[in-house]
Parts: sequence; structure tokens; C-alpha cells
Amino acid sequence: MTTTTADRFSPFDPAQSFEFKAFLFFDWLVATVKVRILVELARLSFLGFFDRFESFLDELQLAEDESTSEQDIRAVLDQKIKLAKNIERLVTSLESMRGVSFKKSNLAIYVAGKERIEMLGNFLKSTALEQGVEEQIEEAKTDFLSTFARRKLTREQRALLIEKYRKLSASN
Amino acid sequence: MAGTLNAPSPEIRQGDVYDIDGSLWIVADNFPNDVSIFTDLHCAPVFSTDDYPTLDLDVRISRAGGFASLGLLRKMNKATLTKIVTDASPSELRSLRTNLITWFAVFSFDTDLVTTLPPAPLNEPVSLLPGMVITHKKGLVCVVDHWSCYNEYPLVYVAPVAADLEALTLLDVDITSDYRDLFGKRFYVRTHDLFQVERDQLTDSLAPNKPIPMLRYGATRRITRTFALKFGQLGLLL
Repeated sequence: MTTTTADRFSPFDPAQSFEFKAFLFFDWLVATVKVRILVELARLSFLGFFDRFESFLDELQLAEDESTSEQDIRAVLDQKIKLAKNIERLVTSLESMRGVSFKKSNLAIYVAGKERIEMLGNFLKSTALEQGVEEQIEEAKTDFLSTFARRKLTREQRALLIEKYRKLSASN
Repeated sequence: MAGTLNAPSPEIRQGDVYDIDGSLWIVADNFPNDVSIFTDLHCAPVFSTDDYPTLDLDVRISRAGGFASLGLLRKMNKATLTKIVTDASPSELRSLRTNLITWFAVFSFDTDLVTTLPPAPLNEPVSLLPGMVITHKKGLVCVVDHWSCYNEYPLVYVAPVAADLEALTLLDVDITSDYRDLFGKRFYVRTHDLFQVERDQLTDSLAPNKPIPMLRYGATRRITRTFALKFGQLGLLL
């Protein structure tokens, strides 16, 4: 029996990590009591999670590069969608931290850093985009399978197509 | 939209039909239309049915009195799109999008389609497949045309393969995981620069008994997704 990328691909989801859960816990605490030690713990938890997140993205990229079928690609996208749902919770938490001023900036910037927050936002956008693209491909597939019976060109159609192409090429 | 408007269009929308030097062209692109770094976009000629027979994926554009010939897409400078004539109806626009995605994605639908590729005639020993990287007289190109490959059309859409691009866009697909050279450059398929070549010219440029570099499914799928972004309705997500 052959093993596909989809069967092999089971990286550790960073949203299941201790750091991710710890960050959400400390996030709730620092919003209630702004104590320095709790802020530092929230920051450390976030940075730990972010390391795992970056490694996870590398693994996803590798899995996508090695994909040999639609099933493999679907498995990679499913992982991204699952992670994106958890990242949305994280981004919401960080958004609420933006309202708390801290060290001449705000708590979100101190805990996560501007670039990292942007990276999380970009991940959400690109995953939504990929999901939308796949839905459009699926829609086209349904149309294709239900609409097109005749596909090959006749000899006359081939000749006319070439003729039109050459005519357009000559005029451009 | 009825009648002819001679004032420059404030925005170029997919499905708008323009008069360019007496010929009608319909805007096929959806994504880069209002992005200033893209100065060109792809349009399809609109022919009347008396002039030319429709092919399977061509889309009837009733208000233009003809059909969009998706097998003859051309890149047009946005500056030439000033004389808007009419536009596609919502259902025609939907067909335009799905048919364009079909054109550039049919091999992505199901791997079974690959195995049902019609057998090549005896006088055409080389089958073309999406993802092949071929050195053509216009440079290194990647076959991106699923529909023509599947049906062995005499014309094939290809996209240039470029190395070490400085200004990357959303429509440049990194294929370095599958296509490398000795100098460790990064290679990209520039989907927005797709153009058409005659199939025979492409197959004639293949050296006999020399393997053809071929992208794996993952990279080919990324290219397909980029075409869905270019031709589909995804602007709201950006």
C-alpha cells in the first residue's frame, strides 16, 4: 500500500501547545490585573507559541511542495484552516490588549511585537484567500462535470482557431 | 449598461466590453484591474457567431452580440481600455469566471482526468501537460494551459519562468522546490504574463529523448490557485 503525503502529514498543531493555552490564560489575567510578572509570562508564552507557529508554517510549505494529489493539498489546507480558527482567537485577544497602554506603547505591541501581529494577520488573510480559491475551483469542477460533454475540436475548428490566432498576432 | 460611453472608465471591471480599434474585447481578469503596478490585463476577443464558431468554453455575451473567445486571450494595456461599449450580464459573468478557472484548472479537478487524457495521435508523439517547463524561443516557459493540454488544442497558454525576481507580486508563483539550477537561484512562474504559442512550435523545441522538467502536483496546484485569484471573484478577500 502506498503512503501519500496526506497520510504522513500530521505536524504538531501549535494551537494545541502549552504556550498557546498559557498565553490565553495570562491574557485574561493581565487584562484584569496589569502586574508586571504576569505581562512577562504572557509575553514568554506568546513568543514560545510563535516559534512553534513559524516551524509549523515551514512544515506546511514542505508538505505542499511534496504534494502529489488533490487529497494531499486538501490535507494541508485543512490544517491551515484549523489553525486559522485558533489564530483568530489569539488576534482577538491581542486586539483587546491594544487598548491597554504599556511602556510608551500598548500591551499588545509589548507582548507580541508589531511584525508578529502582522504575520498572524497575513496568515489569516492568505488562508481565507486559499479557501476561497479552492471553493471557486470546486465550483468550476461541478460546472465542468455537469456541462461539458463535447471537448475535442473538429479539424475545421482547429484550422479556424489557428487562423484567428495568427490574424490577431499580426495585428498586435 | 447600455449604449456607448466615450469617457475614460474610472475602473476596469471583469466582463466589461471595450472597443479597441474597431474590435470588441472583454476584460477577463478580475484581480489586478485596479492595482496600479499591473499596467496590463488579459482580455478575450468578442466574435459574432457568423464570423467564427464557438468552442466549448466560450461564453455568449448577449449585449455585445457575440461570444467571448477564451481560447484567444491577449494582454492589453489598461490605457487602451477607454471606449467601453457594454458589459456581460451577471450570469454571463459567472460563466466567464468558472470557464476561465476550468481552462486553467481542469487537471486539478480530479487526478483521474490525467489518466483519461485522450491518446496522442501518431503524428504527435509528445503530449503536453500543465507544469512542464520548456525552453522556447521566447525563453523559459511553463505550460499552464490545462484545457488545451487535455483536448490537444493547436494553441497553448504558457507563462514565463523567471529567476530571482526583485519585485514579487501575488501572481508570481515560487517553483524553486521543483525547479532549480546550479547557481541556487529562485525561480518563479509569472502567471500574469501568460501568452499563447502554437503547440507545434512548443513541441518542436523539445530535444528528442531528453526528459522534460515537470513541476509536481503541489506547485502546479499553486499556479492553478493563482489563476483562480486572477480570474475568479476573490477581490473582497484581499
